[in-house]
Amino acid sequence: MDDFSSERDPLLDVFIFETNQLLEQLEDIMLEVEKDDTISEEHINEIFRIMHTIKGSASMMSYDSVAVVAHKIEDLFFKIRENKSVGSEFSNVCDVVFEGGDFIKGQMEKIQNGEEAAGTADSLIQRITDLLAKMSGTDEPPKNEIQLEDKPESAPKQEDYAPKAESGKNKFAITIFFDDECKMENVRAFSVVNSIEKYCSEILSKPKELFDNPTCNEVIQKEGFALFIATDLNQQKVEEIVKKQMCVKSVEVKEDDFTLHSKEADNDNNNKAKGVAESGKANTATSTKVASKQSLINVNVDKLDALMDFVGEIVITGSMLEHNPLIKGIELPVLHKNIDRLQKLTKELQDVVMSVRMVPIASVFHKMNRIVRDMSKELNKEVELSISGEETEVDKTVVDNLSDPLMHLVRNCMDHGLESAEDRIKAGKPAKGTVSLKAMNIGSNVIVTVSDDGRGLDKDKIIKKAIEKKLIASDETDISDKKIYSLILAPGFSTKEQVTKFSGRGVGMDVVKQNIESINGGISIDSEPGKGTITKIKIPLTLSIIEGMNVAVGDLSFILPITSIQESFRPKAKDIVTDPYGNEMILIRGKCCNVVRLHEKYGIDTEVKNLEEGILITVENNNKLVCLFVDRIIGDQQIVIKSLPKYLSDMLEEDCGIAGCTILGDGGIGFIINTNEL
Amino acid sequence: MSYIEGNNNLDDESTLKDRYLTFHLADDILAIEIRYVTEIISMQAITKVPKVADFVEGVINLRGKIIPVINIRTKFNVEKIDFDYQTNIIIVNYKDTIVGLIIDDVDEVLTIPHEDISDYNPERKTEQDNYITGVAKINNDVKLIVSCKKILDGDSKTV
Repeated sequence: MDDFSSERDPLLDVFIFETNQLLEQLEDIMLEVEKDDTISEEHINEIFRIMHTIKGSASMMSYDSVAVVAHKIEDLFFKIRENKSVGSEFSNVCDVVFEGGDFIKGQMEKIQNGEEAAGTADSLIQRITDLLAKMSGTDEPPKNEIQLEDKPESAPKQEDYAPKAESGKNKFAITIFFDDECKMENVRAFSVVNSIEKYCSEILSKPKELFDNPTCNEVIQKEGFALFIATDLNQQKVEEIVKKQMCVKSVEVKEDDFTLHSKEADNDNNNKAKGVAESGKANTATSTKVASKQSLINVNVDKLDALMDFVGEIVITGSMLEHNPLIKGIELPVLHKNIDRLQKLTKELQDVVMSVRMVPIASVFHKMNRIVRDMSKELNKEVELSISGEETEVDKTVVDNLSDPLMHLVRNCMDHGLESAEDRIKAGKPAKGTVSLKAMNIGSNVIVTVSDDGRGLDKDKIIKKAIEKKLIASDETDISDKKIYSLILAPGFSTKEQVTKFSGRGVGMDVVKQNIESINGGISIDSEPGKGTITKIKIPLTLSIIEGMNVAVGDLSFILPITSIQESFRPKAKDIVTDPYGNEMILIRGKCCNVVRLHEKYGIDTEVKNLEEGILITVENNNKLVCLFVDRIIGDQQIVIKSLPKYLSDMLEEDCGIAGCTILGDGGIGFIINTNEL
Repeated sequence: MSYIEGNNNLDDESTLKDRYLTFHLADDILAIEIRYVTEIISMQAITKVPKVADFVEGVINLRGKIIPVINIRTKFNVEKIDFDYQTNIIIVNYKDTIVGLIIDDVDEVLTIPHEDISDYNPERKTEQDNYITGVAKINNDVKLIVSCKKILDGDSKTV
């Protein structure tokens, strides 16, 4: 590649961005395809289009390695389209597409970092060539897999297939009942399907979903397992094969010229017609996917930041206007009316600008799908990722900073938390483990939960390791469970004896903690031995603008976030209690609360030293309540949070509580106190 | 003036190289590389910051940006004086750390070629010598070259 000027070619930026978007779409499609164990014509066309686009733009930008890989995959899917099926190479095809996508992604990263996009995917290309040869050689209709159907994108997953009446002279409806005590009916049903599949050109099962469906076993127990097949075998043969399976109590094989049993058929046909027209749109349930045909626009994040800054300045200037004592005193109704209106409009502008930066957390959650898939293959554990609350929106910087921690947490769940299939069955759990990702809005925070139903955390092991690492004294006996679990967040902490590819060095949780703290969030862990582990991440929603209470201590102004204030009052002497160590406390409705004198804490000169002459403000401090003693309350206002210059924050003690600063309505500077850090 | 030959590189840095901003501090004239100086402003309202080093006078509001301000007299252990309207603040940007330096007043901008700077080896070391990296003699005036890096470094707990 020629060495362009240090300013990157804008065309290149667009290329990288678009290619990355396409690769994301590709991954989503492939994950869906793998999950369903089938590939529709829609999918094939989409993948073909994606590879074609990437090939074209990569050639134009002279990134040959990328173009070659894209071309090869394009060839592969051309063949698949021709054959109208994937044949027996289904999983190989999936693997190859995933690898191809990864390779191209890797090249994009290199280019983005300004490195040479060197490196070829020779072995991958060879594999694709081999696959192609295999697929061209065998042109018979597929035997080992469920046939292609024109499933439109909008169809829900639980739907029955539209059968094609092609080969398979005999059509049967089989009803199977398993032994009463046989348990795990879905596994039995699956082995029946397995055994008879190879003889059928079509096969339909009811219930269709054998493994993801928690009610499946009950349904099979009550109604029996129903299979509809088209095969060349005769009725007797079919009965024989089914009866050979374990735990089969009774089999009923009937001739049945089956058509679709539900109204879904009609909808299906209607949708098919529409489906062609709508194929461009992303009609899946998670409508948060960015399809290239929706009306979206890419914006450089720097522009958004600048926009945020300016809006912040407008808020401040508006505040200055509103609160200026001279202006307040002017007796001109039209002036005040317009200032009010201006403030209202500014607030709305602010809300919109804030929402511009908000993105649904879905993108981060969906990335985890790939990780679960890859790890589940490598660790040989069957795992399902369950996601909820993905439409919850958070600021873009939060999303960027969440991706790594979530990845570590999910990997931990899969590596440490979930047991092997045998262990799980022994413990009475379903063989398939579940990792759940949840997001929800609570107050002004977003809570993201990562949980698994694995073996839970081993308290004793953790305590032992902690004592070894001198994190706690060996005679500390009454540490709370919460504290024990949080020990695993310490750098270098691991109870694993060996370091594996995925974990064991004790680094992951430390990275998680740091990343979360960098977005002003908090993390807490809970666990039940044998049941599983839950990690909760709490992140503040709005990074920049909060409602704060401005208080004065001496000459300085401090801002307390409204959300952390419980109440404020002027104390009476009789409620003030001093303990033998000199700590002051106040009695509030019978409960004792510590008093923190801000003027003492911050070394500020003030005349108000008597508790009865100032104001006490009760605030939350890590689930406790604490009373801050200030001179007086100035008022509440909307403030734009600005972070403290690093130069200063480096100098301050960790427990000083000053988390940021802001420009006040009068142009002065106030310090924002994070009450949890006091 | 030296004649720059064949130098087609219009990079900002190299045209600012060897250019220094000189200012007064007590009886000395100090010089600081101008490539780190972003602006010079007059004294304005400073808000004190609790619990920071004593040479940090506080923070100022510079067109919406909050910038910490250091009193150079305090840092160099020179007797403090009151601020007045003539007191200047030099805003420097060193590796994305923006800080204001309170000095007595600004003198001029001049070019001090590298060869004219000699090592600074005072007989008695004082506090301010930690920040001085060289001496230049120009027209019978001695200018002490101060290092922006040294002024800003080592104040934080992290390296």
